Amino acid sequence: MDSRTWAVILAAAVLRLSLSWIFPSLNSILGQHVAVTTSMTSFKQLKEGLHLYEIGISPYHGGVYHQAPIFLLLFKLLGKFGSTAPNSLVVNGVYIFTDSLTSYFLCAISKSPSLAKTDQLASWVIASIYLFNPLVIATNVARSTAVLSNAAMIGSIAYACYNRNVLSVMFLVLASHANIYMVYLVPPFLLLWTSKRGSSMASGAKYLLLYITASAGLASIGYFMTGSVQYLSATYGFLLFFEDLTPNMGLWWYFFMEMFDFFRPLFTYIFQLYSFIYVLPITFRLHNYPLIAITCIVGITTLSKSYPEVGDLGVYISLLSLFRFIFPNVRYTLVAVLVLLHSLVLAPSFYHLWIYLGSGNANFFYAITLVYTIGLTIILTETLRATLLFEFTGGKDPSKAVAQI
Amino acid sequence: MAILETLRRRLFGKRGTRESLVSLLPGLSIVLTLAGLAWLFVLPMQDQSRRTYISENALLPGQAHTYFHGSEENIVRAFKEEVRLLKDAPNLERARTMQQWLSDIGYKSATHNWSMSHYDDVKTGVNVYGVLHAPRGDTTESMILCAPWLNRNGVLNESGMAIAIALARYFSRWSIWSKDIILLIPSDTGFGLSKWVEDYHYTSMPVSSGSIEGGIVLDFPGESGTFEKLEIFYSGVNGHLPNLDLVNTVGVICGHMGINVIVHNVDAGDEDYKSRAVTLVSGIAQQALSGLYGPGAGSEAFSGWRIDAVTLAAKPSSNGYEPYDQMMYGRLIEASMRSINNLLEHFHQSFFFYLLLSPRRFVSIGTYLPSAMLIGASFTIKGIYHWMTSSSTMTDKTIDEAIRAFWLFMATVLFSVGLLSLSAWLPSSMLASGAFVVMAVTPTLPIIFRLFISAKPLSYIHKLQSYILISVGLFLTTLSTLNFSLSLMFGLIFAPLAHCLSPNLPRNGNHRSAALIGQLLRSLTNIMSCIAVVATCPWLDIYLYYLIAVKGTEFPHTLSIVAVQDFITNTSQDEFSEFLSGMMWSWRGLGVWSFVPVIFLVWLPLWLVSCVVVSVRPLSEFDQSATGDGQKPGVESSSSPTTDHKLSS
Repeated sequence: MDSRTWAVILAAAVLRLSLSWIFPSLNSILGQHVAVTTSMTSFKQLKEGLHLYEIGISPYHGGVYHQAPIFLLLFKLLGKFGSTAPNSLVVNGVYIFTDSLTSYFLCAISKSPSLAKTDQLASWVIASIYLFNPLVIATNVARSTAVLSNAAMIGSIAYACYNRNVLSVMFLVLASHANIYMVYLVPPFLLLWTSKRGSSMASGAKYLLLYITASAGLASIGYFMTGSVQYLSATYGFLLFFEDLTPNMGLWWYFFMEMFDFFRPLFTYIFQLYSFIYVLPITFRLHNYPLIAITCIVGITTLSKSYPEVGDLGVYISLLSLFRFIFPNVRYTLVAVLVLLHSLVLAPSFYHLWIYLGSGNANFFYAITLVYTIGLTIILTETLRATLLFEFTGGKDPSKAVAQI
Repeated sequence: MAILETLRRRLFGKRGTRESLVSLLPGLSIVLTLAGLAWLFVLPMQDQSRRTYISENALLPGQAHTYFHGSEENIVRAFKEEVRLLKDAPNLERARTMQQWLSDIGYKSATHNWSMSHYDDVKTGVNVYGVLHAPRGDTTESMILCAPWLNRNGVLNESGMAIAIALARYFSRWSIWSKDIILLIPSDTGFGLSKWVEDYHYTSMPVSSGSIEGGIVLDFPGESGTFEKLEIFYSGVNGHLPNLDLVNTVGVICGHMGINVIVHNVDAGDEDYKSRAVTLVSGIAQQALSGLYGPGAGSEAFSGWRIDAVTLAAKPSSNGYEPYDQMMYGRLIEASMRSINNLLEHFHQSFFFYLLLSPRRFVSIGTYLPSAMLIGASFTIKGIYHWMTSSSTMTDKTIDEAIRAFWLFMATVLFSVGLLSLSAWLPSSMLASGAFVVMAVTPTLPIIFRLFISAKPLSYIHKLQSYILISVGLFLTTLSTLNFSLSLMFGLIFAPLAHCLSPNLPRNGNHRSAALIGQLLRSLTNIMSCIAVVATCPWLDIYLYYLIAVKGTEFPHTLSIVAVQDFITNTSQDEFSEFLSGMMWSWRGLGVWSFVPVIFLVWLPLWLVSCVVVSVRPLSEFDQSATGDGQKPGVESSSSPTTDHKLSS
């Protein structure tokens, strides 16, 4: 971490702070926009759940709050230091600190023993790709709780890269407690945890057992907080069975809105299975590159999860920035960037046409989420192809032969 | 494969496929712009448009018998007399009297004081409104009958108000209403009306009703009470239009009653190409510039609130032949209100995106959108061309250059944001002086850029251009879904900057024979670039627009200095200041975000970057390698042969 990286982190912190102070309504505007937050990450719903919890009512009654119980504990604790309004000092501090920490973790990963051997971008570039990504900034200003779970996930990768496996397991437990789809990362993480020379299947099993026990332990705090197991169906069940049909950037809501009720269970299974189906094949195929396997699974989850948001794409792009060595093999960058750019600009405007002006309709917005998915798919397939090509050529620089588009 | 290879050779010669395809892009871009423009003139053709039809069955336009005639005329006359007496009364007294009238005829009534201020520039007024609760409704829906005190031209809306109040009195005797009727008399059609609509939704008013489903604005000035034809105004601000069903309903009712109805002041049936084309173009101009200066027709105040509204303007004749009287106008309003009253759900069935070619003929979005989309796409494609010519491989050097070009791009954007905030913050009285300062500084910009920006390699300039062109293309395609007309207009204004602009090339004096032609070509492209940049300067264009369209100045026919001077100075500072503050107020007061902010956030950065492109000194490839990645500023271009030359020639 050189001084330039610290300067980038400082500048990003100042930018976030000034955004929420100069435009105080930005928190609530972005916090209620369907592309930026979902009911799994909304800060507004967190505040409502927190209020219910503080006056002694189970926050999971009434279908308002669907996030992990640990956020209630965290924000109740934060409430002791000051107001937890979206642009209060405490909340600003926590979110800015979390984002800075995430960028620190990313820089640490790029300096880790396994990656440092390869061609890497400078630390300050990696930090600024994360911190100055408009999608990440919007997610942060919207106070989406995904900021916290993503930080835990990237922290887990960082600790695994430095062989601090127990800490890594703990961070992944936190991440998957907040966002159940992070469970998909366990198989590639097992590769990371057992990558040290001399480690065996037994050590892998040990970490897996630790992960399961810790997850169960963390999940059970909900029972002690609310006195019933209702929270399980309100959080995990809500996510797995896709009970909220509010539009978002994903592929689910439109299908389930159109569908007859008796088809819902079948398609719920199919959609969930689809989001999982790539995990094991990618883990097996990219077993030499567990970090790229993790990144690919993060990307596929962004595309196929039930409540995706644009911040996930920001995290995925930041993870990709760690693999400078596959860039020369990636084709169609310009196409993918243009497609994503257009869809990200058109999505809010079509949503505006549909919801506020009433002159558009749901098809407008859904069409744009499809375009967004195409952009994401191009990046996913090209990264995979580039990785395989890199593996095939034995890590030699093939940039001479490949033209960039 | 051999056939393909032969074909490729035939098409592209010895060059690689990629280079050949890239070299086709500028041509494709120009073709797209021209195709977009040509498409616009295909639209008025007979087979490209459709006749309008009523899509929502519930509307049943003109089916109910109307009874607003006979003795009701005495009441209209009486109210007209009363309105005339109030002509010179102070605002508040006028409002109180009218509120009393509304109470007397059984409406719950209230006054609405509004004011907006920006430093010492204060706009105030008093609106009057009353609500008739529906005998068959539950106060969740309402429709609005609006008769502004002053109409769009600032003339006393005498007959309009009298008819509205008489109609309101007449409506209160019927038991058929399933929606509340709101009678609104705003002080004007601009800020007064839009402030009322805003406060109706945002604040709790003393008298209120449900969501407003539809509205009709009455515009009938003069005391004679007869008219020759009826003009429908339907454009909303920011490109928003009312549902086509509402416009059609009025059209169909007029057809039943035999009233001659027109749009956009074009009085010729839909039989010939020319009148359809003129209607189309004036419709586009109105949609693009709606709400910009002066009070509008009134219907635009309702846009953005999910209220479909039209203004029905009775137009007096120029030759004294006026076949329709005020009672007919009243019956037209009655029939339209009956149709809106019939609605079971909000207007949704018909088109929200359309361009009218005549009152009974339209083109829908699927047919006209390609026009603006093609023009928007031509910018993106030109941007892709610039990107692809500037970097063939992604090496550290090109990434570094891309980042440095991005900083310059961001600097122009941030500068424009700064200038926008500054002009939003300036008091109205200082706007004109501010504009004169900006106009005085602008011509020196190329000199400043030339002196203070170090010489840049050609690939750097290409990257800079690609950033701005891709952003503008992105913006235009997005805007074309929100406000087609404005997107088309800006696309055509910006087009020279995409197609005619070429950066300065480093000198190349080695080949004697080619030198002369090369010089000639170079100076020709330079002149073309300069003309493009001067012609698209935002301040110059706005000033010319002001002189020609707003002030109505004749363009000088002879190119003498005196004539040009007369043309340019045909304004006073006060008038120009009023024009500028009107533009700022349209953004501040009416929420027209699609004009002033767009000029500053899209046009200005594009123009600044183009200015940089034509004025920055070139750095040839040779110098670049000699001075180490072109990092050192201030290297004069030398006369060395260069490989860059062929890229942009």
